[in-house]
Amino acid sequence: MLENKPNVFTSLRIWFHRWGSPPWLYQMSGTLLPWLAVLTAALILTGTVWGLAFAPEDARQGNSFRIIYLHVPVSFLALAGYYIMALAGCIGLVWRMKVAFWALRAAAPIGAALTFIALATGSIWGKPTWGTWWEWDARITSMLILFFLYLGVMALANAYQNRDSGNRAASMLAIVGMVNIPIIYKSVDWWNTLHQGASLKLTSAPTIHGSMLYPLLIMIAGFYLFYALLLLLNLRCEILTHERNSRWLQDLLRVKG
Amino acid sequence: MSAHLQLQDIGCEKGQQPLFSGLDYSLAKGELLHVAGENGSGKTTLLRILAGVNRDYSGNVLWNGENIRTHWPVYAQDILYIGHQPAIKAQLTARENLLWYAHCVGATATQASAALSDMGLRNKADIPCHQLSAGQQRRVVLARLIFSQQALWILDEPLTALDAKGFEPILQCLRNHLQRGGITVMTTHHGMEKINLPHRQLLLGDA
Amino acid sequence: MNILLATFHREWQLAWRNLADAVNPVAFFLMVIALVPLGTGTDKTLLAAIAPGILWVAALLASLLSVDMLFRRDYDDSTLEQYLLLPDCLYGIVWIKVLVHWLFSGLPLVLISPLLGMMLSLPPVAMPVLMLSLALGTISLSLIGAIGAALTVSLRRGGLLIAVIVLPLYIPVLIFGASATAQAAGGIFPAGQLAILGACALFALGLSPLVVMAGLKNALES
Repeated sequence: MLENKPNVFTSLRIWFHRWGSPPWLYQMSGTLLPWLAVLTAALILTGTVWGLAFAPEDARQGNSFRIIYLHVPVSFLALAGYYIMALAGCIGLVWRMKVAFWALRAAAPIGAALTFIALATGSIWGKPTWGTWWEWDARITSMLILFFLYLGVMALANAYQNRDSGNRAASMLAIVGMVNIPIIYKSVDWWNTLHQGASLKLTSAPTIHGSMLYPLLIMIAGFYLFYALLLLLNLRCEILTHERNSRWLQDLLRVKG
Repeated sequence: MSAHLQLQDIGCEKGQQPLFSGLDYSLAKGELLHVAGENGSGKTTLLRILAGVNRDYSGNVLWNGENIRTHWPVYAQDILYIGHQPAIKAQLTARENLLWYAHCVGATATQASAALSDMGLRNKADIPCHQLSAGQQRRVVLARLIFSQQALWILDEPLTALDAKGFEPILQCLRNHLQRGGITVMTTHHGMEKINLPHRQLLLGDA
Repeated sequence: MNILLATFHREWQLAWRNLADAVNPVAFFLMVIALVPLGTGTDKTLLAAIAPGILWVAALLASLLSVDMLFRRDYDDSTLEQYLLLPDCLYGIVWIKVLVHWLFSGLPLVLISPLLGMMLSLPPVAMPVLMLSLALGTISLSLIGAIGAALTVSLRRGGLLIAVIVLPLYIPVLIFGASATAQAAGGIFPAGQLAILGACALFALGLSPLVVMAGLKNALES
C-alpha cells in the first residue's frame, strides 16, 4: 500500500510525534542542555567582550550606544518569543498535544521577562540619547503593548482551576494576539508618525558599521540559544510537575538514586 | 428510526484523578439506561460526554457506528439533552422559552402550545419564568420532550422538583419514545421504581 | 435559517427585558466625560484638543464593561450547552448575539456621543465623523470583546481579567478612531482612517465568531 511506504512525510510525522512524548523530550533535552549551555555562554561572552571593549565608539552617541548589544537581541527575542508561544498553542490545539501546551506555559514568562528587559534597556538608552527615561517612540510603545499581551496570556492561563481548559484558552488568546500583532504594530507606527514626525528615530540598523555589526550578530545568535536554553529548562519543570505520578519519571528518578 | 449507541473504553479524569475508566456499553433501539452512582461518581460528566458537550475524555462514543467526534453535526441533530440546570430564560415566558426550542427542532407554535397544556401550564404560559416555581420551571423544560423527534434522549435528573401531576405526562412521553425505537440515557435520585419501565443500569463508582 | 431568526427574536426580547443592562454603559460614558473637566479645568481649547481621545477612551471602556455579560447568563443557566447542540447554526448564533449586544450597548454610545462631544467643546463639524467612527469602531470592539467574554465566561471573577486580555487588542481601533475624530475636528475628512476602521470591523466580523465558538466549547469542558 502506498500509505505504508516509508517516505519523507511518514518519517517527518514520526519525528513530529516524538516531540509529543514527555519521556523522550525529557531525556533528549537532558543530553542537549550541557552542549547548549556551553555554546550559549561562549557566544554571549564573545559578543559581550567584543561589543563592549573592542567595537568602535559611535560617532554621535559615544559609548552609550553599546547597550545595543543587549537591547536589540532581547527585543528580537521578545517578539519572536510571542510567535513561538502562539505557535506552540496552535500545535497544542490542532493536534491536542499536551507538551505543546506546556511549552506555551514555559514560554510565556520568559517572553514577558525579555520584553520587560527590552523596555528597561530601551529606557536606559533613552536617557542619554533623548534626555528622557520614557519616550512615546513607536518601537517602545509597541514593546509595551507586547508586554501587555504577554500579561494577558499568563493571567488567563493561571486563572483556570482546570489546567487543560486554561491551556486551551491561553492558546486561543495567544493566536488572536499573533494575528493582531502586525495590525497593532502598523497602527502604532502610523500613530507615531502622526504625532511626532521622524525626528526622534534612532540610527537604523542597516547603516551600522561592520565592526559594530559583527558582535551584534553574535549576540543575537547567542540570545537565540539562550532563549532555547531557558525554554527547555522551563519545559523540563513543566514536565516534572505534570508527569510526577507517571511510571517513567519515577523509574528514572529511582535509577538516578 | 435507526438508533444504536456504543461506548468504547470511555475514561475521564478530573484534576489528575481518574473519575471513571474503561466503560464499555452498548444500547440498542428502545432501550432505557439508568446511570446510577454516588454523588461525585461522574454521572453528570458521563452524560455531558454523551451529549458531546464535554470532549475531554478518552475512548470513543459511536452513534450508529460513527464516532461522534468526527460525525458531530449529524449526531447533534439526533440528540436531545436536558442538563442539570433548566436552560430556560427567567425573563421570558414559558411559551417564549418553549417556542425557541420548538423552532430549533422544526416544530410549530401549535405543537409548543399543546405541549404546555399537556404539562398543565396552560394558565401559566404567558407569565415570566422567574415567577414560576422550581417544579413549574422543570415542567417547561420537559415540555420539549413532547414534540421531540430526536432518537437519543439524554436526561440529567429530569424528575427533580417534579410532582406526581407533572410526572405522569413525562412517563407517557418516555414510554412512547422507547416504543418508537428511541434510546434514553438518564440519571435520577428518585429511584427507577417510580418510572416502572424496563431498563438497564450502569453503576458508576467503586462498586 | 429559521433557527437563526428565532434566536434573533429571542435575543431581541431578552435585550428589551434587560434594558437596565443597556443603560449602564451609557451612564458610565456620560459620567466619565463629566469627570474630565472636573479633573482638567474648563479651558475650552484644552478640552477641545483632548476631546477626541477622551471620548474614544471613555467609549472603549464603556464597551468593555458591558461585554462581560455577553455570554455569562447563557453560561449560568446552561443555555450555552443547548447552543452547542446546534453546530450548524453556532457561527450564526454567536454573530446574532454580538449584533444584538452591539445594538443595545454600542449603538446607544454612538447616539449620545454628539452631546458629550459638545460638552467637551468638540467642533460641530466633527460630530458626523465622531458618530461614524464610533459606529464602525464599537462593532470591532464588541467582536473583540466577545472573544474575551468567551475565554473568561467559565471563570467566576472574569471582570478584571477580561480587561487585561482585551484592552491590548483594542489599541488599533482606538488609534484610528481617535485620529479620525481629531482630523475631522481640524476640518479634513478622514477617509483613510474610516476605511481602515471599516476594514477592521469586517475582519473582526469574519474571524471573531470562530474564536468565540472555540472559546465557548472550551468553557463548557472545564
